[in-house]
Amino acid sequence: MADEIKLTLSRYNPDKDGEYTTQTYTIPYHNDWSILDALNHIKAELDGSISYRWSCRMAVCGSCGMMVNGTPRLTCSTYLNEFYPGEISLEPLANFPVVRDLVVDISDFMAKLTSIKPWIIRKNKKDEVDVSSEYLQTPAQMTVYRQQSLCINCTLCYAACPVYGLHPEFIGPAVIALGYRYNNDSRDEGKEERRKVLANEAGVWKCTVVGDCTEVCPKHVDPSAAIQRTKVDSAISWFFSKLTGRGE
Amino acid sequence: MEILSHDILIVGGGGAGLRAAIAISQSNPSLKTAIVSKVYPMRSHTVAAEGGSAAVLKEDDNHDLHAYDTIKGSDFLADQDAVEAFVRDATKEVIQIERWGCPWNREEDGRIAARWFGGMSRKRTLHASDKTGFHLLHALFQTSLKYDSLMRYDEWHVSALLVDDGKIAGVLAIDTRRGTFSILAARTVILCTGGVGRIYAFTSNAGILTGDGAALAYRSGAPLKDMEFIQFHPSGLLRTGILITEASRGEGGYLFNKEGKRFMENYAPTKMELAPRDIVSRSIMEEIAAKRGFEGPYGSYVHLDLRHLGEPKIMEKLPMVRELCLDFAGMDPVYEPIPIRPTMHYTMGGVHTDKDGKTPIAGLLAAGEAACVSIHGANRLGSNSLTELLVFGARAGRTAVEYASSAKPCPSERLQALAKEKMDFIQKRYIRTENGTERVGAILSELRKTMDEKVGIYRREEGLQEAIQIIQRLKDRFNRIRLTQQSKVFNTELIGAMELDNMLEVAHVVAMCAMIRKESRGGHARKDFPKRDDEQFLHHSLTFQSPDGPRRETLPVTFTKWKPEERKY
Amino acid sequence: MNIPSAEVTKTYRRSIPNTWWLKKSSYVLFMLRELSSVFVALYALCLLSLVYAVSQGPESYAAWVAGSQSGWMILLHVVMGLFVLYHTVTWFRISGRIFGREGSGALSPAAVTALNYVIWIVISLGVMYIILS
Repeated sequence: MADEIKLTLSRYNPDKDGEYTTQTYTIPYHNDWSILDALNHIKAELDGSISYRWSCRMAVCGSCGMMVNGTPRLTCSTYLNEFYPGEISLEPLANFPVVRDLVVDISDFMAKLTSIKPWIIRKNKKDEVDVSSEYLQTPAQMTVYRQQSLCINCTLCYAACPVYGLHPEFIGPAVIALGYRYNNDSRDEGKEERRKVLANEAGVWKCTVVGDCTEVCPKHVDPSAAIQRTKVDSAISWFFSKLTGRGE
Repeated sequence: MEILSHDILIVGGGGAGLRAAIAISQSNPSLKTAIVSKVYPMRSHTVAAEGGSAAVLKEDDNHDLHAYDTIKGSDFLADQDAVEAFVRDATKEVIQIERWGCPWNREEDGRIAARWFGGMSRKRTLHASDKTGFHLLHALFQTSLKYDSLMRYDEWHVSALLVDDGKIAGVLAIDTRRGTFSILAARTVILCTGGVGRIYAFTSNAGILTGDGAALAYRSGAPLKDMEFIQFHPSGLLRTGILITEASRGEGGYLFNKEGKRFMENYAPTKMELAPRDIVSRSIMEEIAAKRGFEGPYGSYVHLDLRHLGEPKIMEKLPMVRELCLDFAGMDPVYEPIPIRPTMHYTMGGVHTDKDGKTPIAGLLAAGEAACVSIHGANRLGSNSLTELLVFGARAGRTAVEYASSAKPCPSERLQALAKEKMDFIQKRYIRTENGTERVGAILSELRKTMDEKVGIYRREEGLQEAIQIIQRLKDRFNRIRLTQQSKVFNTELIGAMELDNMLEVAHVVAMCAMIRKESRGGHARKDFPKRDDEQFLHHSLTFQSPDGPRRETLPVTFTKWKPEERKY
Repeated sequence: MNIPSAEVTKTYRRSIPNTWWLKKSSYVLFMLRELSSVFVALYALCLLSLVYAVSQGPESYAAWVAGSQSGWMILLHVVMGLFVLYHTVTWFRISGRIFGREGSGALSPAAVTALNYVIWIVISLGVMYIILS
């Protein structure tokens, strides 16, 4: 018998029975297949009814995150050979409501993403559309925010974060990292506007430094460091605002 | 049926769609504008572009040089007035996106840096390491979030355009989440749906590139232009076809055959590895045909060697290339040459538009890869496409504002009638398929295999005829499609069937146009007609849908300053 | 930017069991670190009580020393010592991540953490010197 591998998928369809169950598929084992390849094989050959998201299959669009044997991973760049001859269980990303099978509802994340004002804010609004010349920014100034600009919004860090699971109001790792990215961009002047979102109960102070967000990040964005640095920054500016008598 | 009314609707949330949306929101925030996209905007395929975006910014460069390079690259099929407008706007657009946060690589003094790219006579390709598309898309998406007036329908798939008496009236779209169809009414619709890459099996394109915009426009009577011109990128990773950026050659990488020779010497002695993509891709195929390629379990290939660049330069300028090689080819380009083969990459053709984005249907616009203006003609130069979606996204946005301010909305009874007709068709064709026997997956894989084998880099009359026959058979089979599920919530099987229908329609046009163009020009290479034939074929092809299949007309190319000449590098 | 509020479909929400932190070693270590702050606080109380005893004169200090020689107190101090040590190690690691930067011209996270250890050892030696001399 040819080599085979078992994949157990979470199933949920609110139209049908609305039960959250699992279904196991046995497929031929290919040493060079990603888990996404395996899912596409199941969908095309065995069961057209399974639903999951995917697009670029090169780890940059951020669509195909799932819990692979309990850990949030991008399925396009996670291979069967990591688990073979063991079995693989696929669940929708943890901490998000399940829409259908392996598809989760990320609208909460999308709203939080907007709330951090992830765009260049200038005191003089005309700067934003002045195309006569670029803002100058040296390579050294760029290094300061570069790493945090690499987030692909795959939301794996939300699935890894127990704080987000227990306290859904937490704005979460990726959004804080994005706030950090803009705050530390030499072209930006919007730090004060973002402080309201970053430096409060649902912001950085909710984080208890589990650190798993950084562990699971496929792009090495290190949201955990961004959060802790923002804490330091917000503590210092709070201290100075008290010292100088100027309010928050 | 539910009617949701808008002034302007943008179909597709990639680079062109977002750029259009911002242009509209800036110039007239009172217009009710929405982006309807089958994926969240930041998932769009712009995200995967790597190498850069070309624009004249440096002292040793000028707009005429960029225009000439583009036109020569196009094998003189580009419309020169459009190219001139493009290169002029390009300079403004790349600065504008910088001001919106795009982290372009910099010179030490803080000004934007540029790198070499294929077919460009100056260093004019701006880049954000080799994740340019990613940074550009996220900068656009995040900037778009600041406009409260801009609405989004995320994960809605447009199934049909509603056209009333030659004028656009809106679209019929399905909300994937709920599985319900709605009428999205609009006085202007901009198609920014990207290319058709998925009709090929070996492609750098994401799963969502199913030619939706082209098929929607085509079915509504708008012509498709120059669909025979498909770009094959020289460096695709084996097995997957994932893109390894041209910047790897722009930064100094070499191509080697099995004999250890930089074979581009024989094909483009002056430009070498930095010849335009069509030429490099054909050169690789020639090497493979002459048995000078390597052989492996995933077929023939050549080597792209970056080792001499060294780890620091690779990590600074080409980090994504390294990530992709490690994740998807199990090798490290710092220590080993990358095995590569040409991969389907870009659709030069698309919905026929003028340089303001207008199609022949009043109020229907198109921009980006979905459109064909044409600035790329028969072959696009690398790094012109990111610039294109900024320039023509913005232009289409401005045109839409102008048009929407004067056009009248379609009365709702009329909209309901138009939508009902489309809905009945959709019900019959995709949803009530109890008696069907054919599976989406089987038809799709045969289509993609056929396109790879018969409508690939080199084409021949017999192969193209066979391809057309096979596509016609696949279309017949599609009439007997069967979906295994009827449920509504996030039914990706249903969306997949609609996408496949679009792909069959577009693939038919590609194959037919390729058969009629009996010459070799740019990305269209006929083994049986190896020469360019300006006497007979210096024109665009325009294809209309008709009851007997695709009907092809021609359209003259616009010339301004540059006469056709032999294309040598 | 607003997203149209459509009537949304019913989602399934997975509940988080109270034992969630036993599922992964990183979660267990995290919980232990959270717990360690209790012991850090306890140790601070111990020290305060010592200072208080000293301030009350030699007898009260002798009583305090006698009290701390019981087996239970020694065990408590070992446990407190381990937790405080763990707390310190994690804190040093985090401070490396906060203040360190990759790239030339900056202290790397590992260097910042190492610096923490160096300062810790120097201060400890200093304190030891004062006490022993």
